Parts: sequence; structure tokens; C-alpha cells
Amino acid sequence: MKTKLLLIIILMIGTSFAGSFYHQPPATVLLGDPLRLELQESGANLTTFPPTVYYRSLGEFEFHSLPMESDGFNYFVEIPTAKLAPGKVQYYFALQSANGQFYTYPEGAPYSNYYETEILPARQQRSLKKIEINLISPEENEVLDPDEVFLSFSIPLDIENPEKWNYRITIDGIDQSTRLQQEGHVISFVPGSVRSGVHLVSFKVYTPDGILVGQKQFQFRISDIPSNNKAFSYKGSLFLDNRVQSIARNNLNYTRGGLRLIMNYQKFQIDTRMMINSNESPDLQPLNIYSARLKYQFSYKYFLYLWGGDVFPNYDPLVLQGRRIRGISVGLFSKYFDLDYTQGQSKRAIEGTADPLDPQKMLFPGTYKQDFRSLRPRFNFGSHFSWALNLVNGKDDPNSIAYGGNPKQYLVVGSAIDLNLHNRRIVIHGSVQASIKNVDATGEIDFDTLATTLDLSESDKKMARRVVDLFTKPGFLTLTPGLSPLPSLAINIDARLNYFNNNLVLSYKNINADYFTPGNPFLQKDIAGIFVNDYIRFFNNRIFMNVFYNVYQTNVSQDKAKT
Amino acid sequence: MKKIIYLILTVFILLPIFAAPLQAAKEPIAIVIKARGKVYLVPAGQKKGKLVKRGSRIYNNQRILTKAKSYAIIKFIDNGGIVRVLANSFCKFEGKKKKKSLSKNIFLELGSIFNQVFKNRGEYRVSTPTSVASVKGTKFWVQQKYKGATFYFGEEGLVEISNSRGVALLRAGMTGIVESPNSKPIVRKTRKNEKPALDEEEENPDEFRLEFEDAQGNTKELKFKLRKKTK
Repeated sequence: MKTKLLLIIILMIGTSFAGSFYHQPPATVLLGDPLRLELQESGANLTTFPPTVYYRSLGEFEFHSLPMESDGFNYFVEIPTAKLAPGKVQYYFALQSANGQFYTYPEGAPYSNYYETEILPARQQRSLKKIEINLISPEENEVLDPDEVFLSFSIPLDIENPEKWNYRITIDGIDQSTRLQQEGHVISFVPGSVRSGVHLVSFKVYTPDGILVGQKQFQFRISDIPSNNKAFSYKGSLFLDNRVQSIARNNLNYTRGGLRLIMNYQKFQIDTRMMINSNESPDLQPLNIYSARLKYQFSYKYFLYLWGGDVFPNYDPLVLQGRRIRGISVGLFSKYFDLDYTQGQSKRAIEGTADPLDPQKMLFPGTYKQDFRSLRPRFNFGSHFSWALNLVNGKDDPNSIAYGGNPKQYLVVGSAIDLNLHNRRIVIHGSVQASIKNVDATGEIDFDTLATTLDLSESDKKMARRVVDLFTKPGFLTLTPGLSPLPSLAINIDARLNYFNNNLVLSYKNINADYFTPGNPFLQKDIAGIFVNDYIRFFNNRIFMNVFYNVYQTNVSQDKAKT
Repeated sequence: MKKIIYLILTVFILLPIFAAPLQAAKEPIAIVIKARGKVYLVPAGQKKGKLVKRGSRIYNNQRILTKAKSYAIIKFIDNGGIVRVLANSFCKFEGKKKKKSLSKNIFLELGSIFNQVFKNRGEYRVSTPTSVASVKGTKFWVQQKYKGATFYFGEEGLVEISNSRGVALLRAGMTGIVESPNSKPIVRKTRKNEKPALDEEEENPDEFRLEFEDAQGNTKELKFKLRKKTK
């Protein structure tokens, strides 16, 4: 009870302290005139020291400070405005209570709340003549290489003692005046690193009395071409996300945070990603993401890479797309030849559940760790045609858990072509893939017995023999009773035509029911048909119309009772 | 010994006092706004120069040397003129502050320069071993042959070519020739392929990119390359 009472008293003191001041911001002040700020203390005098005022011109990053003078319950300060820029001035008061605690007034300053007043450039209307600022570099709206960013201005040569004048530069609203270099009548600025894109520059010249006499505002753009500069550069992003959801008694609550950091040094780039999820658990497939990709860039388009951690190689929707592989990926993109090799784990081992009364009896099967390998060489013939071969192999590791179902093995081999013509108005993509699976990779069997069990015809047997010989020797598959040596096929051909305000896509798709790729387990199977889709643009892209016509059949294998 | 100490002390005390105005007087007269290839800035009284880049300042009496397949674009600080120094050229920049303006002189010892001069920005002259060209708001070429004649090619406006032997006015589309310091400037119509041409700029095309990223972190870039339309 005593503790509660004490807390209430402290709270009351705190509340009374927070509300015991009164301040009325002045509406405006003329540049050159002192800015007088008053702070009245209406309650008991709880401050140990006179408050301090922190102020800055709008656009400045840091605050300047001045201690206030005390006049009974009234504190005041006069801020010289000569060195402030005309426009808004932000300020707040900092106070220390008798118990040593620091407060700001208004509350929340300097992060979210301040007082504002305005400095009017009134005196410049007197007899001072505006000066002309010469923009030496860059030209207005000029496009600069990233290594050539250099801003330079000059003021009229008849100005005496130009070093006594004040100069302010803001780039995209951020005050960079401290980095200005002056040599006589020439004022220059070399930014350390500026992102590519459009930038707005404002340069202002003030007399030694702080009167604005000239300004220049212009835009320029920094090109995205790679920098030859040896300087190190980086960019990054950070996020934190919390979700609390309960819909129809289904709860989805998580907190996740992520960091992305891209660092460049000469031709090297390292791209790191990290995402931490509060629901990460050894009983679930991984939710956290950790990855780092090191690139050696010959140009933006062509580079060598080494990618480690959670990698997401992207081949073709029929083969490998959107699948997280925890491992490494190495590759090359070049003018004539591209290569990717990925090795890792596509599924985490999750132990099954055994019957507590009979440990030999399995209640729920677990998930085997799935070892994953993929390889894709691609040959580029000019910029219009490319031909790729691919191999994707996923194998359950039977030793990864004690309680599991049948360990499985999957192999997909195939080829894809890409063709683009007439400035990419015609784009054709074709992919033909064959998948072989082994639904039970335990035990041993000889090929003849397997062929007899599967009741293969002589021609199928010949083909199956070739497949088995080809893929069991390198270890992609094992010859066990669960092996289906005859491949299942998946074909996809897309043609996109972009003419006469039409974006017409014609697709043919035929994916066998038994086709399976460990690189895209969510691929819709057992489907065949033609898909026609047209996006039409009217009235200079103001109205769009989508027309589509699909003729396709699902359950082609007719092995499902319902579809 | 004491005398030496006093002398040293006196020098140290007086040096900053004398050096201050010298320091204050050091002000660039022009700035390199573009440099490609091997372009050197040779300080006055020196033979060796150092490579320049965009933003390099040129002070009074400093010289610019361009090697083969190189060029530099230089702007005077008063915005009075832009000079394009072509490959294999050597010229000295001189500037003198006269009240409100900067009196500019480029002494072309060898090679070719293209001048774009803006009106009402102070005096602008190009001098060569044979003659002097005075201008007010114009565009023109000056070409100085090795130990030989000077050629002027008018692009716009009016240029006055003079030496001790006479004066000639150069208009757009005309060529002015001064064979030597002792020969009178001659002006005639510019012949085909006579005029120097601006080197083809082997520059990176302007680029900008839009980056798209899917949930897995795969990124795809839509890259735009812009090249200036050539006539």
C-alpha cells in the first residue's frame, strides 16, 4: 500500500512538473533581430538550473544550445539570428528537476515535437542588392557519373572579403554547409558519397550580417553507371514487423526483424541479408533467413558470384523457382556462358513422433533432411538466343531422423530455350523437363526384378536401363524398389508478342501427374492446355483491358476421383 | 648566437603576416569541369604536371597539357567562357581581376581549343605566338601549328584578330590565318574539312535502374540506358 502511495505521489509530482510551464512561441522575428524566448514556470520552482534552449534552422541536423537566464519564475533567452537562415526555426527547452531527472519541453523533443517560429528576411528589402551566383558545375539538370560529382559556385568578384560571408548548401533538404570549401570567390562542395538519382541543391549566400543576398536552386542527376572510384560504399535497410492476428480461432502472431546491407568496394559487392522470426523452431522448416552473396562484377550484367546461407537460385518454373536452399551457390553470368551450381539442404530434418508405450511404433512420421543439388549451364548466342541445360536433384537423408516415412529421391533433367526478337517485342520461352522419382529409397533391388515388378515393355525396359545406368552411377538416384525409372514429362512454351498496344501471351503447358521437382514442390501438375491472354491498352495507356481464353484439362491422368 | 635566434624568431613572427595576403590572393581563375584521358595541369615555372579531374582548380599562369585522345573542358569562374582543349594541346590560363570582372587570356602554344565566350563577362582574349584574338560573346576555334601558323575558325559572332602587322575581323563560317608574328592576319571562307571537330566522346551512356525484389530476395533490374541522339 505504501509503495502504491509513493508511486502515486511520484506520478503526481511528475505530472505537475510536466505541466507547470508555459511558453508562447513568437510568431515571427526579423533576421538580424534577436529572437527572444520566454518560459514561465507557473508551479513550484522545481528546476535546479535554469533551462537550456536548443534551436536550429529547418534543414540543419544539429541543434545549437544557449542557457536561459532566470528572472524569478520567468526564464528568457535572446538568440542571435544573424547566423540563422531565414525560414522556420525549431526549438525546445531542456530542464533538470530537483531530483536530477531531465525533461524536455515540449515533451517528446527533440524526436517528435518542437516549437517553431519563423525568421523573416525583412532586412534584405532595405538597400542591399541581390547578387548573381554563377553555377560553375554542374549544369542545371546535368547527368553526372558517380565519380564526378562536384558542385561549384562563384560569387561576383567585386565582393570584398568573401571569406567573411556566409554560405549555406542543402542537398535534398539536408544541410551540408559544413563541408563547403571556399577559395576566394569560388565555393565548392565535393560530397563523400551520394546515391544515384535526382538531387535538388539549394545554395544561399548571406552577408557577414546574415542577410540573404543571393540564392541558386537547381537539380542534377547522378547516373547509375558503376563507380570506378576506389571508395567504399554501402547501403542498407532495416525492418521490424509485428503481427497479431486471430481469425476464426486461428492465431497468427509473430515478430520479425530484418537487416539488408549491400557493400561495394571497387568491383566487389557483398550483399548480406538477415531475417529473424520469433516463430523459428527446430520443429518447423526454417523461418529465419541468413545469406551473404559476394559478387565480382565485370559489369552490371556480368559477374561471378559466391552465395552462401539461404540461397534462392532461379532457373525455370518447371524446375527451380522460389525454393530456399540452405547451402552455397556459385556461378557466373557472362556474355556467352552462364553457370550456376547450388548445393545444400532444401528441407530441415524434423523428428517424427513415436508411440510412448511402444517406441518401435511410429505415430506421426517426421520430415527427412533433403539434400539438394542443382546445376545449370546456359549458352548465350548473342543477345537474342540462349539455351540452357539443367539438373535438379533432391534426396532425403534416411539417417537424419529416427521416425519417418519412406525416404524419397527426385531428379529433374531438361533443357530450356529463350529467344527474343525485334527489340524484345517477340519473346519466346520453351522448357522441356523430365522427372524421375524414387518414392522409397530403402532396400536394394536388381534392375531386372524392378522391370518385372513394374511390368515394363521391352522398349520401356531399354529406356529404363539407360536412365538407371546414367543416374545411379553418379549417385543422383539409387536402385531400390521405389524407383520409377521411366521419366514423367513437363512442357511449357510461352510466346509473348507486344504489338499494336497489345501484350499477347500464348502458352502451352502439359505437366504429367507424376512429374515432381524438389525445386518447386508447389507446381500445379496433371494439367494440359492452351492459355491465351491479352492486355490491351487504349487511349495512350489510360484504359486497359484484359482478355483471356484458356482451354485446359486437369486430372489428365484421371487418377483422382474429384478435381 | 643570440642574433641568429632573434633572426629566426623575427622570421617566424613576420612570415605569417607577409604570407597572409599571399594566401588570400590565391584564388582559382578557372575550374576543370570535364577531363578525359591524360590531361595535366602544369604549375607556373614547372615542367611536370599532375593529372587533373573534374573539379581541379586552375590558378593564374598555370598551363593545361592534353595528350593524345584526351580533352578537357574548362570554365572560368566568372562564367565568362568555356574552353574545350582538344588532344595534343598546350595552353596557359591567365586571369586578372579588374573591379567587377575577370580579364581572361588563354595563351595557346600548341594545338586546338574551342572557345565559347559569354557577353558582358569581362575581357576574353586568346593569344598565340603569332597573334591575339579579342572577343565579346562568340564561339570560335583557335588552332596553333607547331612553330607555325595560327588558324581561327568562326562559329558565331565576331572575333577581332590582331598582331603588330594588322587587324582582321572574323565572322561565322570564315577562317582567319596568321602565318607568323610578322605577317598580316588574312580572313577567307572556311574550306570543307578544314575546321577541327570535337572528338567523339567515348563516354559511358547515362543509366538508371529500377530494382525489383521478390519475397525470396531475388532481385531483377530494369535498366535504362540513354544515349544522346546523334544527328
